[in-house]
Amino acid sequence: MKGAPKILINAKDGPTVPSGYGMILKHLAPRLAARYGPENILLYAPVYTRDEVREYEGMRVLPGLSWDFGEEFLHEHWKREKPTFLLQIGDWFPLQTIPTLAANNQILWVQWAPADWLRVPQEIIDNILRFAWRVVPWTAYGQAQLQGYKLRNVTAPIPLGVDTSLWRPCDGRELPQVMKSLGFQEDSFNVLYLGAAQRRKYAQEQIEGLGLFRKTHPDIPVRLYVHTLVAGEVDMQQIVQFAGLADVTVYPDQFVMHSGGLTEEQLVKVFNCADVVLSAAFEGMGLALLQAQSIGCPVIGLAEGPADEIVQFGALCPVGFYDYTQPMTKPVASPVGIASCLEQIYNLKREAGGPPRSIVAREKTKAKYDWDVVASQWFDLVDELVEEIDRYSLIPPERPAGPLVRRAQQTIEVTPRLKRRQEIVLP
Amino acid sequence: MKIGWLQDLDPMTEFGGAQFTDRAHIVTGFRRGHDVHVLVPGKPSDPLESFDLVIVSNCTSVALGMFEEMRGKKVPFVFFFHDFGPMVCKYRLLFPMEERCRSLCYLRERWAPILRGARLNIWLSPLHRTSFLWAYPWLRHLPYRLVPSPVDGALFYDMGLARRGVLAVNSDVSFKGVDNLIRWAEENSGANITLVGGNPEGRTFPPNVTLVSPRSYSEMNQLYNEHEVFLHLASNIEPFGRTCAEALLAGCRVVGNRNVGALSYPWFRSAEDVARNCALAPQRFWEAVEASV
Repeated sequence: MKGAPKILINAKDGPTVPSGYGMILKHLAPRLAARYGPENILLYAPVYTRDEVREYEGMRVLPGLSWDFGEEFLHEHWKREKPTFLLQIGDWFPLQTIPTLAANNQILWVQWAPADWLRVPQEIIDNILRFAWRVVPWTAYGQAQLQGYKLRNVTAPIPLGVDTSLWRPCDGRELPQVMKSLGFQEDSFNVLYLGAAQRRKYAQEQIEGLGLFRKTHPDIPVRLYVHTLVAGEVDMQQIVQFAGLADVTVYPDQFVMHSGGLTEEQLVKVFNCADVVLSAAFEGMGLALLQAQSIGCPVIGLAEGPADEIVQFGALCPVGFYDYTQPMTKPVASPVGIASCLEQIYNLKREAGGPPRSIVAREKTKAKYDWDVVASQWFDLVDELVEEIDRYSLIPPERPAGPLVRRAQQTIEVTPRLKRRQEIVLP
Repeated sequence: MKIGWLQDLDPMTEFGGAQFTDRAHIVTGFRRGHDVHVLVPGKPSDPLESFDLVIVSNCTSVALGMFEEMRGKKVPFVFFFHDFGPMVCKYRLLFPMEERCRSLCYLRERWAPILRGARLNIWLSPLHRTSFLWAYPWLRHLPYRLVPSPVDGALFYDMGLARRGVLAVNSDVSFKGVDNLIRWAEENSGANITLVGGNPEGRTFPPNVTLVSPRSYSEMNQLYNEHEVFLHLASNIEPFGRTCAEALLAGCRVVGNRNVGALSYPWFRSAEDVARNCALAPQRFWEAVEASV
């Protein structure tokens, strides 16, 4: 293969959308562009292209409106742009077109895959991920999960990253306006909950755990900031009310959330005001865990899943039950366990005499999850893939090579000496 | 000798250039008293060790383990290469001859020990052999023969018809040189070119090119005889190019290039020489095979 690879990146949200997907593109894509040239990085984020943005930091943003991955346009983009491979990020369960194209050798597809469900039916794996050229798990936990489904195309994990230069600790007490907007006070126990109002986040159990903690420690002034759109598959306000926390809970401006939410810079300030980040859903990675650890803030994660790879400072909540109502399963946090974890964190605050923070957690997070570190792992993998393309000739040559072209230009004419049919005596 | 003839498709029943060639050789083998058994992978056959020799012909689907078995049981084998796969290029009919083909390509590791184990390597032309040497330079030191495709001089001859224009056959796709044909047509706008093929790539041809549908093998001599020139401008290495030999025997002036294997033979200069060498091909094939055992 001559020249740098051309990578078509497909995620749901574009790089200016403050979602998990958006942040991945925001931080990874420019680094790939710096390495391979912005003209060789194509972004296809169909939800993003609602805003009719066609360019981001020198990279082309391909058009196509969709509420999901926009697979219906992806093949057209592939045929027109002729990238080296497709890097698809995130949920792979709903994919249909991409696996079919890969199965028919029409695209080379690399899936950067979360493993955020248990008991995935083998036929889903066989019909989807088996056709990926490479499946790149986000975590060691995810790697073990995916290999357990007899996939042979699973690489070493490459985690999602965090911009540790942006996600730096600062004292929330120096952000009084932000503290006030979150309903936090210096002497209260300030809990930050992030999670979309989706059933699969199992917010109820986590919020119940906080409610239980408040009930069992009535002398501790608990404050909760729920950073989400309150109305979704579940009604967050109802969950909070049932947990007996409505009087101590603040929600973000819903108009702001509908308009795209807070910027990453604003979120850093929000995190810095918290005493603990509560994010104990079973996630593929848990971006909130990374972000909190990057500023040294303790987190409560779930004991099952990748959280124990990420959490350096905080507590892991045991599983309360497994939700078998869907064909695929998620472990769900135990409310009693949440309450117990909150106790541990509150004790840390009491000992610290202020918001508990860990420099060690920050340094370890920086060493493993900073976007520069993550990007360099991608560079290594891309280089390996490019060599494989050459070694196994995965992309058929479009044009003959130099020697063949030169030979083709040298004409040879042969004239038969016979003018009419003659008996040619054959031996 | 009891000979095992390894082929993807049974040459005694299937149609195709390679099968054509193999059939001619197999029939000659019978006439020379050999007991030739066609071995098609996946179909039952006598055990390998019962053969005095195995000829590995146009075979891409044979398992590598079979070669291990032949070596283990000391069954001698000969390679009769028809194109490039699977030893030189996974694309079989298309060998790009790029630098990576002789430095990175995984096939070299896989096939080198097997190629070294052959008693004899038979190629269709000097150019065909040269292309293999690009990937395996050490092959030049191993025993080999060059045997052209056996073209039947009784089927292709000058009928004495009035000839007009240029004929091209199956040069309608990229890897068969359609770009070269289009360029030649544009540079020779006064020439009327009949292109036998289907235009599967949906190319736009200059107005002096007329597409006609493919003909049966028995109709080809007539078609050659209706044209003055046969044009064959291969973009990739063509191991032989039997249409060039057929057209020359049928009395056409052949215009090819240095990618055509047939034209790399020094004797490809007259219909007589082509007729003689192609007719002798099966005999020379068997002489070489018999000498190798």
